[in-house]
Amino acid sequence: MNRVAYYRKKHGLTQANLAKNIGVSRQTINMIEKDKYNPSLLLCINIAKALHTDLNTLFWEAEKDEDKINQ
Amino acid sequence: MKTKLINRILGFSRDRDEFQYQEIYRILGNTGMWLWCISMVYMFVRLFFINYQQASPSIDYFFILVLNLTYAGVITIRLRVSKVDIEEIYSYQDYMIIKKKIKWQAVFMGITWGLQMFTLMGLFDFLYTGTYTYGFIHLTIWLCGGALFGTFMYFSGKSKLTIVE
Repeated sequence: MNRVAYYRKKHGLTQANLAKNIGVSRQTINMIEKDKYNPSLLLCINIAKALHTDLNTLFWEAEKDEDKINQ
Repeated sequence: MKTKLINRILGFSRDRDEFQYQEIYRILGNTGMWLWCISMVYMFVRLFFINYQQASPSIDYFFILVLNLTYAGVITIRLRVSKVDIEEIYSYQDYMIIKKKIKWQAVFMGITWGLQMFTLMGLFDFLYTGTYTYGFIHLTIWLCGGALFGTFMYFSGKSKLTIVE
């Protein structure tokens, strides 16, 4: 699982807010968060910029990070 | 232009995002494929009744035939031009294995196609004339046709293989 939902909530954004900021639909953000859609690199970068983070944090080794959060 | 056309056909007032376009292309692709299959089945059923009623095919039948052939041709050409049908192979051994597989598939396809055409043409002949006249000569002709078809399919399949050094 990626960490888009975690960082979005951390910034106090709704799916609709984030979608509006990067110019996509709310459904797209929902599908990305559920790992049902692999976004393009450009969209990944836009999401990372909107959430003031980087691609590695959002999409890399999410399982390990989640384990750390759960601990 | 393509985006505008999709928006107009599907009735969207604004452009969609990449996920939505991906879904739209998938849905349009699948429905287009099904529409093509249904129209082929329709043509087959029409042909069955044309023979049964001893009528001649009407102009719309030929129109649908040309439309279906054009559709299939455009897809084949565009797939070839975009090179998505090319299969890259990284060793000569793998190339030989796949080539052998294609050869046996072509033999199977040729025999199946020949027998299928022999059966169908015999059936249509029976429906049209009321007597079954198909025999060994026709079987030989259609199996020769099947051999040509199989050979064409073999070379067509082989042309998609590329050895990458």
